[in-house]
Amino acid sequence: MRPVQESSADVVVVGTGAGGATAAKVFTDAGLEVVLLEEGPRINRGAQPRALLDAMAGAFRNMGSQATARVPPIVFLQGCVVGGSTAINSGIIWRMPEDVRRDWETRFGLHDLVSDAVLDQAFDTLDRDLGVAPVARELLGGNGLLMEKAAMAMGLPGEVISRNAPGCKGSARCLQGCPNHARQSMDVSYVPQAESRGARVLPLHRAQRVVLKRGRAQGVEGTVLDRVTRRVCGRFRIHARRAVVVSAGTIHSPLLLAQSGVRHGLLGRRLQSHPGCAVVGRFTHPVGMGTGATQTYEVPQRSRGYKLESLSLPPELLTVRIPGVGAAWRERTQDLSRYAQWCVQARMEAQGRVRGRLGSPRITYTPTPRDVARSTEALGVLCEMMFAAGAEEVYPGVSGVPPIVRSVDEARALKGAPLRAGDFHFLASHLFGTVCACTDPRHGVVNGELRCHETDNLYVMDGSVFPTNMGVNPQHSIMAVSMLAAQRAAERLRSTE
Amino acid sequence: MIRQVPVVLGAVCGREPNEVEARALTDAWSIVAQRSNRLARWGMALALGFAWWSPLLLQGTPRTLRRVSPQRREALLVRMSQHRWPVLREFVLLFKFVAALARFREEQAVQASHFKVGDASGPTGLGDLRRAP
Ligand SMILES: Cc1cc2nc3c(=O)[nH]c(=O)nc-3n(C[C@H](O)[C@H](O)[C@H](O)COP(=O)(O)OP(=O)(O)OC[C@H]3O[C@@H](n4cnc5c(N)ncnc54)[C@H](O)[C@@H]3O)c2cc1C
Ligand code: SF4
Repeated sequence: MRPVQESSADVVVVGTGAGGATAAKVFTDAGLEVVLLEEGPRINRGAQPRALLDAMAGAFRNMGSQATARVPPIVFLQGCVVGGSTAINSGIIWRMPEDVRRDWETRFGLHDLVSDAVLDQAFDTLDRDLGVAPVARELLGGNGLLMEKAAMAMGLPGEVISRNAPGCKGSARCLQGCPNHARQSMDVSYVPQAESRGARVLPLHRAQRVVLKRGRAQGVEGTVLDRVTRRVCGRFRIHARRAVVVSAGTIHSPLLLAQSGVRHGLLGRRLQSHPGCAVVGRFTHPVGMGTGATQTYEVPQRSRGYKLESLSLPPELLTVRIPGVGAAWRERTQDLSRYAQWCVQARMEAQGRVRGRLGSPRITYTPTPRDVARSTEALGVLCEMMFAAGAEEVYPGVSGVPPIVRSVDEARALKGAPLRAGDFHFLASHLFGTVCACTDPRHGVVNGELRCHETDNLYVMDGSVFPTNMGVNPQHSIMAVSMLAAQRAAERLRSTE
Repeated sequence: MIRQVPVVLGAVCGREPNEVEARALTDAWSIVAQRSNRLARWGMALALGFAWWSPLLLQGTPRTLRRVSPQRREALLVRMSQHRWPVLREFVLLFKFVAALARFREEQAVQASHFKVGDASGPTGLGDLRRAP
């Protein structure tokens, strides 16, 4: 058996995504020595994969195939790479909405994390650090411009998306990792900033257990993975002098905690999400989906429970969304320049559960009839918008209705179509709730400082602590809440020196 | 039996698959194997199995899929692509993805020399690929 790598640090952070990287940056700024563990590899500057499949293999968990256990299988997309899901996301930025802040204050006692004064200050810092700004007009791209045209024609409250990509060149391939390092994902922002202050980043190190003794986290044990085969090629043990922070994301944080002996009735439960689906429209003229930023225009409809966004896809994925087989499909995919694609993110009320072991989670999550009705309505609106923008035909991408919609009346009729959850191909990338935060230990696994109720120095900082979903893109809120919690934790850890 | 898989791929694409497409099936297998939903993974494997054991699907005719007319193959796939059981639809999506992977891999290889990485007009976006031969 190979020898165990041993080392130590003040704080061991598991996961380098939105939560973990932000926490690590705060801790190193406070002068603490940090080790950042990451199960995925580090993809170096200039070596971002160009082919979609290589990106899926290198940066996505399960090659983008992680899915729920029942029918319908809902794909839960997550990054597994330095930078976590931020390394493959579109860079859309939203601040936590007002109603969510008030709800979390009153129902979960999270005043210290979400009161306007502290939260907006954290958002201001993030905006500055990550270069947040609305997409420049010249980067809206044909796909976004058409959505803008549709929103204006239908009187919908559309707007240009704000992103954290100050040097964006509009190559519409954020999903594969930004080749220009323009998008300020954690791998090019807070992770290197933490490293420049002495943090050690250990890619291909999978945490298997937080060592807990007498209510204190002592360190983290795990396995080292081979870069090519991802098979186990070693073991490590890192002693944590002050604290352990679990930031392994909504699916894996609860599993790691359970595997470490943390017990709570809510651990792994209350999984919430914003599952989405997409509509493709064919136009008589070239759209230009391949230029402009990946996502540039949105129509937030929070009161109706969904948000519509333009989404440019790599051609391999767009082709899959075009209906038909055989000669008809071949004909439709000959000229891909004439397609636009927009998507829905629905704020679903469904709550699911994550069980099983690290590496082989069993995820259950079934949209409720209300969720399905909401998604159906949004799908109909998107189809109608496509016609308002001038589409000649539209593909709703669900079964149970015609695969090709040819008129605005047919599109309107879709809104009330009797669809079932299994008719959709839902995909979710915004995940919350499995390590719910609440000041009352009966209703939360972690407290208002994001520290596990029964422990002294074990924190959780990522999307899993969010007690509800939000109806908007979450990365900025995850970073802000983690930033505030890490600042408090750093103060506390230093005061107990 | 495994020779029948490219035949299904051919039916999805509307022509005989080329060598690159046939090779892309390996990619499909790697994706199916990664599928964390056991039901979907088995469903897809089963669907690929159906493709091999095509007589089962084609109303028990003793002929192999290769001998079934392209029209019948297409009609079957159309039914599958609109079926209300999502795993059957995913099967067709998977084959489309394989065909697309192969196509764009070929086209990018053809075009790679003409573009610079990071250039907005580069080969990474759809705009460029539409100019592919
Ligand atoms: C394709 C995609 C597009 C998205 N687009 C947007 C967007 O435009 N705007 C937005 O706001 N949000 C977007 N999101 C969502 C956003 O990126 C996530 O909500 C956010 O990154 C979650 O942060 P996190 O810290 O909870 O987890 P993650 O960022 O997923 O990080 C968790 C990290 O922990 C690592 N890890 C897990 N287990 C272990 C272990 N045992 N040992 C070591 N490491 C481990 C993982 O590999 C991963 O790197 C998108 C997500 C995806 C997948
Ligand atoms: S659109 Fe292209 S350049 Fe802009 S952030 Fe995304 S990948 Fe980077």
